[in-house]
Amino acid sequence: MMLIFEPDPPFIRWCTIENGHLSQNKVIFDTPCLDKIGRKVLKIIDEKNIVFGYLLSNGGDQINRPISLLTDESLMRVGKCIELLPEHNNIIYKAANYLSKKFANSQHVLFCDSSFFIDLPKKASTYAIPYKLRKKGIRRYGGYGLCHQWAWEEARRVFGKDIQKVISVYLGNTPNVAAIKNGVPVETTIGFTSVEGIPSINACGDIDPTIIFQLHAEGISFERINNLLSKESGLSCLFNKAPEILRYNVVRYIGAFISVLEGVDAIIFIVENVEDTKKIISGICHLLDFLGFKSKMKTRKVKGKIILSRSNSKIKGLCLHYDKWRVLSEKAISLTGKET
Amino acid sequence: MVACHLGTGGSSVAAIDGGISVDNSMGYSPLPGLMMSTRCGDIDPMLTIYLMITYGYRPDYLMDMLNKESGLLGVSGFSSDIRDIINRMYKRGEHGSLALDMYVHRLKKYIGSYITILGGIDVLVFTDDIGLRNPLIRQEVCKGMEWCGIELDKQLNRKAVGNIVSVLNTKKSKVKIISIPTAEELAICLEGLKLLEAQR
Repeated sequence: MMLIFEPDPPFIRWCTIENGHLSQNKVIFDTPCLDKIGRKVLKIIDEKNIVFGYLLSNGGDQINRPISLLTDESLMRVGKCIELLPEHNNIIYKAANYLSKKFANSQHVLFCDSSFFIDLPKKASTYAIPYKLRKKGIRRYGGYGLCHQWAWEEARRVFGKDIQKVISVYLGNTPNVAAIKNGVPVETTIGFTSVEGIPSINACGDIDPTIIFQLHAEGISFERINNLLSKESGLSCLFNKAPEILRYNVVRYIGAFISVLEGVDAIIFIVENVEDTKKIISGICHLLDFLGFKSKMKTRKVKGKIILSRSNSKIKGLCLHYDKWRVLSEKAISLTGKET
Repeated sequence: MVACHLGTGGSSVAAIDGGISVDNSMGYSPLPGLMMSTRCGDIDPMLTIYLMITYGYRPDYLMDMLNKESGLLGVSGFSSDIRDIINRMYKRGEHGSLALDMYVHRLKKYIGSYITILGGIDVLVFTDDIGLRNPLIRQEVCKGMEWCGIELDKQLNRKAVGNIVSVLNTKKSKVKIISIPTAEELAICLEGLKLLEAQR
C-alpha cells in the first residue's frame, strides 16, 4: 500500500493506493491532523507493508533527484527550502518529519517537482541580475518536473526513439511548458515561483515588475500586492477572454521553445481532464499548422493515449491524461521494488 | 515581420503584421523583455516582493538595481557594452560568456515567439547600434532557425557593419533578413511636419 502526501494550503491532501485502487483524502493542516493520520495508519500498518510518499513542490538547489528515499539528510535539506515556498514546503516538511519518525520501519519516498530542472543550462536558469542576488539562490527553478519527465517518457514510448526534441505543455490550473532535448530539460516557463510564465487560474503570469512598485507607490502594501497577483489574478479574472489569452500565451512559449530547441519533433499536451481541454488544444494545434504540425479533427487512441497529429505530420502531437497519483506510485514501485 | 531593435541603452522586439504592431517585448515600462545593457528584462515578478521581504531591500533601491545594475552589466560584472563582453568573454572567474549566451538566448526566444504568433514571417529586421554593427550577435541568433525559414548568409552578415541598409539572407532563405540604420530623429521630424501640415 502507498500513501502519498501533497500540500494544498491550508490543507494536506493524501491518497492511498492499494492494488491499483485509489482513494483520496484531505484535511486542514494543523498538528492534531498529523496525529489523526498517524492513528489511521497505525490501524493498518501491522497487516500490510506501507510506503509513504511526500511531494515537495520546490526543492530549490537542495533536492537534486525527482524521486529518492527519504533520509535524515534529505529531510534536513527539505527543511532548508521552506522559505522558497513557505506555505507548501512547511506542510510537507512537517508531515515527512512526523511520519518518517513515527513509522521508522516503513519506507519513505521523497518526490520533488523541481529536481528535473535543477541542471537547466545556465543561460536558461539565470536571471539578468547582479551576482550579489544570484548567489542567494535566485534562479529559475521550474515546476511539475515529475509530470514533464513522465511526458517525455510517454512520447518516446508512443513515437519511438527518433523523438529527441519535445515540448511538453501541462494544461491544468497552473499551465506551464517545458522544452526537453534527449531527456534533458533546456527551458521552462515556471521561474523562481510558479507565478512566472503563463497566467494560471489565480496568478497573473508574466508581468512588468514596475507595476508592483507603481502599486506600492499608490499606497498598497506589498503583502496585499502579493495576494492580488498570486491569488486574485489570472484566468479567472478574464472571463470570456480567458481561452484566447491562455491560447496566446501557450503558443508564444511554444514558439520561444522551438527556437531554443532549433526545431521540434513532438508536442505533448498533458491534461487532467480531456473533455474540458479539447477546445483549447485544438485551437493551439491549429495555430501551429504553418510549422508543419498537421493536426486532425478526429483523434485516435493508441494504447490509451490520444494522437493529435496526422501520420504525415512533420511534428508529432500527443495528448496525455495525467493521473498524478498513479504516475507517482508507479515511480515509487520502481524505486522501492515494493508492490502496492 | 519581426523587428529587433538592439541598442546600447534599451533593446526590444516587435511583431508587426501589415504595418500594425501586434506585440512588443517592452511592457508597462521599458524594463521587461530582452536582456539589455543595464536592465534585467523578463524576470519573475514575485522576486521583487521576495527580495524586499526576505532581505529588506527598499523599493527604490531595488528598482534602481533592476534598471541600472542588471542586464549585461549585472551578469558580466564588468561591462554594459556587448563589445567589451565579447572581447573579454573567456577570462576565467568572470561571467562574460554567460552574459553573451543569455543575451542571445533571450533574443532567440522572443524571435521564435513572435514568428509563431504571427504564423510565419516575411522579413526579420535588425536595427540600432548592436543590430546594425554586430555580426556575431546576428549570427548567433540566426543559428538553427531553419525551422521557420531563416537562413543567414555568413559572408554578407560579416560585411554588414556600416550605417547602410544590408541584406543578410541566403538566396534559399524563405525569410528576408535585413539590417537597417535607425533614424528615430528623422522619423520624429517627419511625423512632426505631417502634424503641422495637417493643422494648416
